[in-house]
Amino acid sequence: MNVMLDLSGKIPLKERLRARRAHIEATGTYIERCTLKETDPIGFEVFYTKLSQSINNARDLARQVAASPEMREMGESVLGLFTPEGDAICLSPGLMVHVRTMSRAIKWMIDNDYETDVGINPGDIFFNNDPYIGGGHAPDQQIIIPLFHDDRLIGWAGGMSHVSEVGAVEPGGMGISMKTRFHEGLYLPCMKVGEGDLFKRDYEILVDRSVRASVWWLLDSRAKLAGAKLIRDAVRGLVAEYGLDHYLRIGEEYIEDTRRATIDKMRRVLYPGRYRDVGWRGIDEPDLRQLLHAPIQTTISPEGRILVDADGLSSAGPHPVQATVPLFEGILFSSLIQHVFYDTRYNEGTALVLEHRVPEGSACNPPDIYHATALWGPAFAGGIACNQSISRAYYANGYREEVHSCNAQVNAIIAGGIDLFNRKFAGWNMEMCASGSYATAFMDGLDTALAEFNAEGDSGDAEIWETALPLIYLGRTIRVDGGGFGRFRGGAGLYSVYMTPDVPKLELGSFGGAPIFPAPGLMGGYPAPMPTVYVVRNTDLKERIEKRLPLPHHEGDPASPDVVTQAKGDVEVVRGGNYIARNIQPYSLYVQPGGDGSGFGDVLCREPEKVKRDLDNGVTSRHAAESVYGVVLSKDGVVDLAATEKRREEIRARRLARGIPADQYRKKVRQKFLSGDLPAVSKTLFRDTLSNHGRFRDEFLEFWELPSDFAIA
Amino acid sequence: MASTAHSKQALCYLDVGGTFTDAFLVDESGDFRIGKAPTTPDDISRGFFAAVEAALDVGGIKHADGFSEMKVFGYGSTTVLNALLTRRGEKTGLIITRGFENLLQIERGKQTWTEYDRTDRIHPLTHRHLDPIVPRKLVRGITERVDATGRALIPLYEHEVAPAVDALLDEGVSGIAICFLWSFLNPEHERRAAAIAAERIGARGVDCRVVTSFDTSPVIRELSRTNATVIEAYTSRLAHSAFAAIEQGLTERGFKGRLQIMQSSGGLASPHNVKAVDTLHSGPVGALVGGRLLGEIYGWENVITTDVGGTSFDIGLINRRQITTRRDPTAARMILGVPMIEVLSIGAGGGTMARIDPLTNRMQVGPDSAGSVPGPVCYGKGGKLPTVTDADLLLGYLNPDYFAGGTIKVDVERVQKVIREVLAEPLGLSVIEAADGIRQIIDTKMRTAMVGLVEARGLNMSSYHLLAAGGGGPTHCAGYTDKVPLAGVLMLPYSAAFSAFGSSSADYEHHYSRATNLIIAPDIDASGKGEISGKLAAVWADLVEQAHRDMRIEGFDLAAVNLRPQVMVRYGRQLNDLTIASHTLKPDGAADLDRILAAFERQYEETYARAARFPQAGFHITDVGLVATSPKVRPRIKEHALVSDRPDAEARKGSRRAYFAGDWHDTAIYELMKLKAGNRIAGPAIVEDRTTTYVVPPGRVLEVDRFLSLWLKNQ
Amino acid sequence: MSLLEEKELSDLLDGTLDLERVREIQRAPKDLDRRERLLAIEQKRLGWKDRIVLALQESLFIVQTDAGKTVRCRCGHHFGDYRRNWKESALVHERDPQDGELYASANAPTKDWMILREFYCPTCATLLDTENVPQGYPFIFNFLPYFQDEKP
Repeated sequence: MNVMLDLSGKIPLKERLRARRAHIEATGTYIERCTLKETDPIGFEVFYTKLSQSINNARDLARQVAASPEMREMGESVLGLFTPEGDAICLSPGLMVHVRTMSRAIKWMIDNDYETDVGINPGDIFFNNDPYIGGGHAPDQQIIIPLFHDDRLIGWAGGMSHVSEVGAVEPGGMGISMKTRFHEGLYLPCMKVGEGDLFKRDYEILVDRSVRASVWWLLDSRAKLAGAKLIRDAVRGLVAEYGLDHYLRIGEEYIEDTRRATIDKMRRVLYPGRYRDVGWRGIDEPDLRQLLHAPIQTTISPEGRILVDADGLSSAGPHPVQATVPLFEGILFSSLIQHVFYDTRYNEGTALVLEHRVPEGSACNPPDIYHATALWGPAFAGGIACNQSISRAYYANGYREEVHSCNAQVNAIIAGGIDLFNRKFAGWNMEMCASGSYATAFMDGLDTALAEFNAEGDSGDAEIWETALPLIYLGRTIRVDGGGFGRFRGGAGLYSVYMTPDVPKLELGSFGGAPIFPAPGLMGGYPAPMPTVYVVRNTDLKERIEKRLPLPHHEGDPASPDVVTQAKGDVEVVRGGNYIARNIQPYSLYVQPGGDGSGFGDVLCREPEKVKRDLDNGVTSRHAAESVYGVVLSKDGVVDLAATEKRREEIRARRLARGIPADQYRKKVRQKFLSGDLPAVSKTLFRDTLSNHGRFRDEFLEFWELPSDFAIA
Repeated sequence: MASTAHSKQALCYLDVGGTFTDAFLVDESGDFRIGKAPTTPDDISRGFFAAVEAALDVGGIKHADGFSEMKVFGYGSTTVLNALLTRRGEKTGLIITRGFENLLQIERGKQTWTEYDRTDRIHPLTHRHLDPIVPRKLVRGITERVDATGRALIPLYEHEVAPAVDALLDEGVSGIAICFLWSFLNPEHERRAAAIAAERIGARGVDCRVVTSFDTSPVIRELSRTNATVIEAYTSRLAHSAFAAIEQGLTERGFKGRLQIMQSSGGLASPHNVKAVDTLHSGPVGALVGGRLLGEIYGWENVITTDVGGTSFDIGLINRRQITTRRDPTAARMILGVPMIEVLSIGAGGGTMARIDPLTNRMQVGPDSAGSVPGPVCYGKGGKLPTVTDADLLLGYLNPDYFAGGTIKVDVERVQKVIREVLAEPLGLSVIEAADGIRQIIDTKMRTAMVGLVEARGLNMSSYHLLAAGGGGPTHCAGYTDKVPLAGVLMLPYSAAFSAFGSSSADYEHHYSRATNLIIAPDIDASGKGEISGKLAAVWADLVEQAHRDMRIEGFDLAAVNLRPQVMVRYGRQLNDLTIASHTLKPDGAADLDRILAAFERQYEETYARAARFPQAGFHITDVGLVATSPKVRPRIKEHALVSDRPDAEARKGSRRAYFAGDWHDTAIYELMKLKAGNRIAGPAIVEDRTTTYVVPPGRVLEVDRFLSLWLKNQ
Repeated sequence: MSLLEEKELSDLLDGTLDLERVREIQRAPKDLDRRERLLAIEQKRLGWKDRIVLALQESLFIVQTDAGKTVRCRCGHHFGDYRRNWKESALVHERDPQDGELYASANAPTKDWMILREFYCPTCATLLDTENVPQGYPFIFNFLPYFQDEKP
């Protein structure tokens, strides 16, 4: 009897899951043959069309019920249908980071004997937001319901979305002060929160009393449930029409079919080889100052298999800038789906072709579940690095239309208190879902359009955000020189200037990153600039308004921004953009950059006309035009080609003058290792990485010609 | 079904398409005639009148008589859409809240992928910003701010307005759009800025039109509102001069009735009182308006209209006798805050192409289409991929010797060769199996999209009647309604012209709305509710006044004007509302508010399931609306006495082999024009007409009713 | 999608191809002879004869020489065997992000956190790569291609 495909309905889920894992382990396939597809290719298509349509309907429906801008506006959600063992058969578009996180939650319930100990019955509603089980952080919330045919469990339907208020130490569920799991708010690990298709009252009381404002959590739970139930109805219809056996078999075939298509596509479009790129994150707090690196080695085999190896990744620590393995994996899926598998189906079959190695105890695979994960950490950096490598593989094959540098980390403002309508509120402004996008090999990155983790980028309207959070936009503009410089520049992100409203209580903060370049350039392009938050307290705004004096609305000159020059007050410059939420008075100023894309190619190859256009649109500064791009404009603002070429020759000459041969450079730096003359940040980083014995360590020592027993002083 | 003696002309509807202008003529007896003429973009009126005269010629009617008898000319204009797509409009400036000058560069991320299909949506390298209608250098910021409660937080810095206007006039703009944040809650700043602009324009004696967002699109979302306002400033002059030219031409030809312009909302309006931006999407309106008329004739509550054309399958919904409107309307890839009827359009039509996906060896049908050039393989114009039409031909549904009424000679051998090479061999199928595969997949796509539109609203299929229109509708509706539990499936003898017919049946209609921000806390008491009722009543009084003013301008008898009050309601903190019809225009006290909220919760539960209800959050009335309609002369549909259920012998044209459910069937062929009321034809059968082919598979039966509509029923 | 014409391919290389056309290309199944066709175009443009076997990145190619496969700049400069990181034969400049040439001070790290390592071609001075890394971080060996005719 086929244990995996249990047509008898008698075999315990746990046993079936074990059998499935063994089969995959042994054969590398999900099932051996796609018989239904081979015998009736048309029927195979027809069935899938019905299935995928109903899952997209489910997401649309859920979005209408949702309360949070991230679910309704930003599309921060995904719905899906799963096999009895929890493998995704079909998923809606949306947050592709979560292609497998709901699967992991279902499998976790099966592994932990929910079938016998907790009970899995028709009408049950399960909730999970434990990132170590399946997710990114507390705000990633899943609603999962079992699907039954008579008394037999035939699958699962689920919805996942990002809910911003979770009762953490800071509002909005994401903040730099969350040093352990116990700062991160309310965790419900795979908990049964409803029966008979209704949420339990005690669950809602628990949520209501555990978070600052429960409406988003509770309404978005309803949204996901409504969507999941729509999927359940669709499955009932399909089983009635085709019979249960057909339904169960065809689901498995879609997974295997996808696995094959996925490998095949990689083999065709990605040039085989060994690729290496590095992503960066960090913490800059008084008690902890640390750089985290994600060195990613991506190997693409001639057969189309892909192995992502994070050997050398920084260690986990007492901070939220780290991630779980499910998230690390999710980020890789998200990158691959957006850039390689956009035209194939994605489900568990996609997951099967991706192999990854994340060192235990690292910042993407913490040693225990008490490590905080609020800010994803180097997982995004790793995804970005993998993305760069994919671009190199496309480039080598000539597919320039797919080559792109990378998106920055995203940064956002978080807030809590009482709003203009006297309601409790807490959350964050997710307009950074429209950050500046990566430069490509054929055009500039898009300004204010995209975030790495959500292909359907959107900023939402300012008026919608002012409904959700009481902050007043004084301006919402494009960050000047936000895009990393290059032959094609990165997209620039939003630059929002807020005035705090006159409300009884308001705490404000931001999450961003360490004071570093978060987004590397590609093939000569420069990285995107570092994000910087400005907070100005005790301003003279009220008086200025009464006197009709000019107010700060724009960035102005990045070197001396308008928020500093156009208003008096006590200015805090938060380099990198991590600002722990704290109380703030009315008529204060707050500047939040959203995040930018990095550049592609040598700046001196940029078409001068493009530079001029950016100048006219206020996206590039005159300084950058002249000293970075070497573009000279005449008085009346026309490009002077001759002068430009001359300026560019000067810049090239300067490069040759100051560049030193690599071997000399290496000798110089090697000396610093021996003399210990390196900055503290470098030392901390190397001390940590060298303490982990592995490939990265060996190559590190070899590169600097250091003894095998070398230790950082 | 052909028309007989000539009776007086009643109304004429003109649909100006990209290539052709169609005229649809209805006389008092209900007979209709169709005229076609090439569209003349340089001067739309030439094609307009050529089409009308062509239609009159069909009926052998003297042009002079035709024009003088006609009571109404309806006009679906594409002037505004074309101006937008080709970026040929007024040089327009934008005055906006300071700090938002980059709005049209920023757009919303969503506007870089809206109207994309799924594959491109999740493939960000395909996303593109739009070329802004107003370049950054023609945008000026003004210091001012109204907050989310409608309070003026920063007063209008009036001294900044005149210099901004002058700067734009110096640049030579002939249109100025003004859009401030939250102006729909408090329009004072916009109004004052517009007044100052008018002064400057007057003082300089230049010709420049000023448009405010409050007057154009008083809804939340600054991008949607600004887009609409900018489009109005950019195109209104063009549109109105085009309308004027038509009107003049009509008068010269002796027309004494009214010219009426079709709006995207499905209603007609006077050319002197219509916003350009409201005429963007008049094309797809027809099928729905026609559906509403048939719904009234047959007494249906809920209708699904379907229209299969050459490249797309369009679906629309009528719920509770109301045409559904779009939640997030877009046009020319711009998100817009104006009322538009909802039409879901998917890439599935006669020209839709089939191919094998090299990665999965799966057959894919659509979304892209062969268009008219090269067109389907059977045209022999170089089409390389088999299309739905090609499949229909091989399956025996379409008559090779009477293709498009015999106007096109088709190459069947070529179709067989292409389908064999492109589809059958890679899949290991026979040619006919592959052709049938195309049909199955396209029918399934149509069916799931249609079911999805209803499902995603949680509505119940079995309460809907379905109308299959368009040239291809009757050919495929047996397929896309298969096993769908509908109340009934109806096809029409004038299927290909149904859209024009529908448009001709539209009423005069104006939509009014006022964004409000009425928050009803969970713990609100009776007096609080009474207060809210009072506020609602006040807004409606205001909107009724506007409506009456417009209807008066358009010369209607106010007694005949029908007013439909509605509110948009959501649970507190939700971001999506439902539109709820109010039982009264003058709510008074807590009871009336409770009744409105109860209606909301009923509809909410129907739509999103009981578990999704959340009264704990309180309620939020975001928008108060009013729809004012005034009936006009409509095409009447002739009734016929029911005769024998057996078609006359001469109706039977013969028979041919057609492929159904995996088998060839000897299939009877009938001539549509020779069918009579009461006739009943059991499948397999095919009914042919010059423009349309009606397919009746085994197990289904066709019944002709007293209006000569064709019902597709199960045996 | 109609097949890419020669002109379109070279416009794609130059980044001058119409963006709506690029979108059509992105939507279409990938043409499997793309690498050969692009290399042919590049080969025509170059002033030297060594046969290109791979476009490694902007300005850099792997060419077949008697000495085996080596990395060569568009300008002709030789970087040596492709199995060795070409950066080790480039000119290097360690940029202090605060030097004021590129970023405003508030928008760039200090060199205690990160430096900007720039790699130039010793002959044509093209900026071939930038690395944003802390001081002392080894060069990143971005791409070691696989060739059927030899094991790396």
